[in-house]
Amino acid sequence: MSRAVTVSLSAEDRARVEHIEHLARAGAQNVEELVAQLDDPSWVVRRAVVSALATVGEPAVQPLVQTLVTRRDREARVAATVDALAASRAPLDARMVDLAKMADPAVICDALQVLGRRRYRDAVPVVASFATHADDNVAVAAIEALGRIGGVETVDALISAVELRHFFRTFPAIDALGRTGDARAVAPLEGLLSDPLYMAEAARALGRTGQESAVAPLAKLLLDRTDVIVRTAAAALAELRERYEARFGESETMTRALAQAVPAPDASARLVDALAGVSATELVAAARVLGWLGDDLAIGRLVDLATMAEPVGSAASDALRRLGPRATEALLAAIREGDSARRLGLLPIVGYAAGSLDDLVLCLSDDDPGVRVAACEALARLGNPAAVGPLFTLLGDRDGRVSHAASAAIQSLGSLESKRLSLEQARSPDPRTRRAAIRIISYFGYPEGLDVLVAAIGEEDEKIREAAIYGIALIDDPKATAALLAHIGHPVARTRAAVMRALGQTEAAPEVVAALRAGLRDSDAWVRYYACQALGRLAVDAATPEIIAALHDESGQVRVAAVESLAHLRDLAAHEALAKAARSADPDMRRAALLGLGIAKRGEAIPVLREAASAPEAATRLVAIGALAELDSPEVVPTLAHATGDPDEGVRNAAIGYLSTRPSADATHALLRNLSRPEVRDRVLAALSVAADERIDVVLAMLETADADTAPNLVAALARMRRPSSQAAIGTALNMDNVHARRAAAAALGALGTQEAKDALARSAMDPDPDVRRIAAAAARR
Amino acid sequence: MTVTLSPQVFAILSSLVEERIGLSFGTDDASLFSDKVVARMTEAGFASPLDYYYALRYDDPAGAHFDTLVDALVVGETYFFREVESLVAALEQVVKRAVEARGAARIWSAACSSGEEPLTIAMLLEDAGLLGSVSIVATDVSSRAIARARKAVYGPRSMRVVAEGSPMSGPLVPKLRMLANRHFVERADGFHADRSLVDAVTYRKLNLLDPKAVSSLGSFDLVVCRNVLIYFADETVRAVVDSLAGALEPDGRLLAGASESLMRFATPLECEERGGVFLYRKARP
Repeated sequence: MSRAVTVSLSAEDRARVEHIEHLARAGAQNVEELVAQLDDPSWVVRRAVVSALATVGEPAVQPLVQTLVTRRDREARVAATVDALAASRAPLDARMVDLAKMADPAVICDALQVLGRRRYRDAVPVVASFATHADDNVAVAAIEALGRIGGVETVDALISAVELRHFFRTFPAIDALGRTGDARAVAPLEGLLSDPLYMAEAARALGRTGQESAVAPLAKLLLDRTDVIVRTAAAALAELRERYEARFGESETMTRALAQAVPAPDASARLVDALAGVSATELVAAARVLGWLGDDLAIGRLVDLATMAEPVGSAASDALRRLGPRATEALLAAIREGDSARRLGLLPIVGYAAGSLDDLVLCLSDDDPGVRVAACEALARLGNPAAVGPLFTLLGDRDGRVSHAASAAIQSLGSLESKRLSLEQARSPDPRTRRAAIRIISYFGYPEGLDVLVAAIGEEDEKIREAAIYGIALIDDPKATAALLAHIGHPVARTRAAVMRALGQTEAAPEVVAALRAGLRDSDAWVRYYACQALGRLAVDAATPEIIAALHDESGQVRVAAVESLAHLRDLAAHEALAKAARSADPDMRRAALLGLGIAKRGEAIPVLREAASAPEAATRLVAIGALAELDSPEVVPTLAHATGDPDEGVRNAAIGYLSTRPSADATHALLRNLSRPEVRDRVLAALSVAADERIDVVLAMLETADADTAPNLVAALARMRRPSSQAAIGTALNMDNVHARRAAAAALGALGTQEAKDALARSAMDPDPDVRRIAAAAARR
Repeated sequence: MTVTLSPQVFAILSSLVEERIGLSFGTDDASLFSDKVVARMTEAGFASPLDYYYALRYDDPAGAHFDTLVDALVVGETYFFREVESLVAALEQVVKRAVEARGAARIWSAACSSGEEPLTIAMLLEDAGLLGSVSIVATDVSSRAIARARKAVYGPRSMRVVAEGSPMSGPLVPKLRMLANRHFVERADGFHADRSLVDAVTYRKLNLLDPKAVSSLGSFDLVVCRNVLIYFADETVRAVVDSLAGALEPDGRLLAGASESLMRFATPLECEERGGVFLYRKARP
């Protein structure tokens, strides 16, 4: 029998949601009506009410608190009330703390939940006091709230809850404790590994700590007799290393820690044995750990895994790449002996470390064109010019992708042999080989190739003509420009367009300028397009009126090219036209103008660019901040900083990237302010790690007063810079008055593992803080 | 020389694609998107991604360049008998009842890729003795996919569910193998579908973002639109679902993919469970 349940928006619900939105816009006066609808039967309507009450803010707080305390007869209403308080814009945290002191355990739980969801740090002592409450529900709510709030202040209370070994309380505490990432979490979690009830959860939590000291206890589980334990340990180790590297970058310390904890061949053998019939997620984790172990057995298994479908294949490939030369021999053997499918899976991994040229050249004659392409790419990565000869044999390959890949590899490798062979092959009877050879001559701009290229303009094949034309422009010889000018009237429009584009690569000689200005009147839009671009590139100010006229060309691409061109002209009229185009309603015109303003680097453009940085289309905002980033003005950083909170991920990432290239204090501060946002934290850390002495000074200054959450991030940024001055800065932090800076610095120096780091830690053996002393002692033991 | 897309050009090109066919590419997809765009750009004879963009925007009146790009960008990975339990239930609960009530029914396989889904529907209908009473329309935005669907020659990956060693189990599997054996012949170039099966499907190129094109298809008892909406941004999902809802008969149903819940969208549809499968119907006024 059929059962119908309405779960999405009906017409009636839609009307009610609109009414609620209307009530919310009117504000405080409608709070009572909104609160009355918190138990609406429709989930969608309740969501709208919650959102409206959260937006109303302060006027809604007291009615919501009142509802929470006195109207608890319906679960849906209670849940919606908690949601509204958790999302409220009002500063209600102190009132929630008072509410948590009430006698009713159910209300206490709700208040704790609100505090947790609002991540109210000042409430940690109060919330922690409830973690030992007689009522299990209250205690669990407190533990979960501590987990949500996070941070080192919560660690002691969570450790106490873990050590209770109380079924209801310990499980949520294990999870929350692991997420703190605090070194103190490791020992109590390790203590649970011997208890079958908590072992798996504790292992996962150890992985989440990201602490080096968690390696040994987890590694020992790799030797366990139970497959599921081995796999759990592998997953935890994989996460552990990922988190560790997010803080400190790649580090030998972790590799050493694992090698010291278990014999790699034994652990690999046991892990490989435990992998039968497991999920892709578990295989990904296993691949990472096998790469970390790095013994022969592990490498052999990784070679097999690398040919599997995603995501396992790429995880194994990454692991093999990280192993570098250690894995090369096994990889080359598998490629040599494998079939096409296996080669296709493995070739993308080789070439990052020196390897055998012969094995890769062998693959150039594989039956599968995909293998031949992959072999060309691997040879390009290998960087051995001896591959050039074999690559030339593929220029005429029956598969166009192979010919293209071989050309690209030759261009990447260069060598004198390339010149000789390309000049020779340019006379090949095979058009595909000839075209590819001409492209290579064009790419390198061999002066000896000029006659070949000039002759190629007479070819029937349009693509050969175009390749030759582009190459001629790169050769510094008066005969080259003359050859281009001889073809400005070519009967084929594409060829004329290619000539215009090529002339833009030459110099603004009078005959070139005259040809380009004539090109602006060509009947073909693409000829006009490239003529316009070329006049801009050559900065022909005398053509400004014609280019401004081209802003009204019948073809859109010509109008846009005119805008681009204006950016290169120094004439005032050109700049005014550009600024006007930057406010065009046509998004392409506007974006082209914004790009142009960035190229022109004129300070007057800043207001226009800042305005465009708030445009409705993400692409326009992205172009605007890219153009702003080209300018050197104090007004740039605030706009970029604002863009780090853009709703579009691409804009956010770009803004962070642009800030990373600015070492100034304000840019560094702008980045640091984003460290607390989980969605961009890793990217910000990477941006801060772009080394610059000025940035190091700012980070050090901030470390003087950083709290327990910020200090590790600041030190992580220094650690990831990987330069002597940044490592010296970590040493400075180890001597600061701020204990959080010292703890973070000690952990980072332990991770760096250099002699200087060990010496610095040895001097901290008498630090007043027990955590610093513990880290120093652990480093000394290593 | 390797050409790459700057973040700006990626944003410009990806927003053009999203505006025209709804496919949404995030920054995680940027590398894949760039590879495909650069390959098509090179094929089309352009050296700069912006030149290529302007060609798509201003010099592509018949949409030939754009179609080629779409062919490269759409995710065509599918196979026969994918999520077959929900399809069987939908045919039983919706289509069979419509045939019993009116003597005929219409099914639309929206975003059919290379035809595996409409042919699966055709096989199941034929097995139930309903194929003669049901017309199947299958559409996709990619002309290359439609051409492949009409050719109806498939590789082993399309047959993964019924292949030897398939991890799929359950009471349906022997029947599915029997259907595949009945309707496909294996030759050197792949598995050839029975022509009568292929001819039972009317293929058309169609952009789901084009409401006029959708309404030109007429109305259907069952619209199957699976594993497509996940590639669209929320706004686009709403627009497409509105359009699909408009193509439903008053008692028609929409079948979405198992992982695609429309519950979080304010759509003109209600969800109902029928015979263990979740279907969407027009909300009652």
